[in-house]
Amino acid sequence: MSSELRMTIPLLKVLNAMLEAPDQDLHGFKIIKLTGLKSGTLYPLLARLENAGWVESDWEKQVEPGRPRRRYYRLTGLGVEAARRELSNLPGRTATPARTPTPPRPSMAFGAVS
Amino acid sequence: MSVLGWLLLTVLAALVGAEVIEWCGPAQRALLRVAAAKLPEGHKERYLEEWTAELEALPGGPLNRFRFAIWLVVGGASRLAGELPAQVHGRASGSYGFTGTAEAPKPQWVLLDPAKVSVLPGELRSHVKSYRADGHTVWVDAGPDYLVWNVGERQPNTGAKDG
Repeated sequence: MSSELRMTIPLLKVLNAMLEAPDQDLHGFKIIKLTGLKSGTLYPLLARLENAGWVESDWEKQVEPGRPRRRYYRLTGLGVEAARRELSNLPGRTATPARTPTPPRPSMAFGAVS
Repeated sequence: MSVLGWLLLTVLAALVGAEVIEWCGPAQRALLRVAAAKLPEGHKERYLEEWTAELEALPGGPLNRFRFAIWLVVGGASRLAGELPAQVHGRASGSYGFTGTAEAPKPQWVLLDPAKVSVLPGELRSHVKSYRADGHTVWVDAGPDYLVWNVGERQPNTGAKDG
């Protein structure tokens, strides 16, 4: 699936921002601040990365009363690997040092029934 | 203009300014609703909540918030809609799957692991070509060739349940 992702400058910016903050869960505006992208550009990219399994997101766990929940994004193990690979392919760019990858998603069981 | 005129003008400007600021919040939230309305069912609420949270946490004044909302309305939500799979939502335990349509030579069932996946109880009908699970939600990609419903009821493949 990852090979279907067309690398664009905004997409690489998102990957770079997320790779440089590997231990942080980033919410949308934080990524906007880090990348300089517009909101209308960022969310389609995040959805594309989620579809590819490079990024996962979850609601914030502890929410102050009266405030809507924020959605946090982080690279998956696959995403870290792919982001490093794509970014290291850029001329003059060295990939961010390795970090412990996040555990893989649970796999689904498939089986023919009839 | 007399001093009184300037004074009145200042008061009037302050009142108009206060009125405009008062309307900013509802207007921004309305823009977010317009943007979310462009998304497929099953995603609208998620993104509306996410964007509302972002909007409320944005630093800066109303203009910064308007900019955030307007970029979503102008093209952002439409592009996002193009990236989103149709989402099956809800939770239930049991086995679920999908089958081919009449065009498919054989009905094909694919079981999801109920220990890891929760999906909508009752009948599920959606176009499916592939899906993935994140442990909470089954994501269904839109596609013309498949239907999906509750395998627990093991409905026959009639091919007539399209839509």
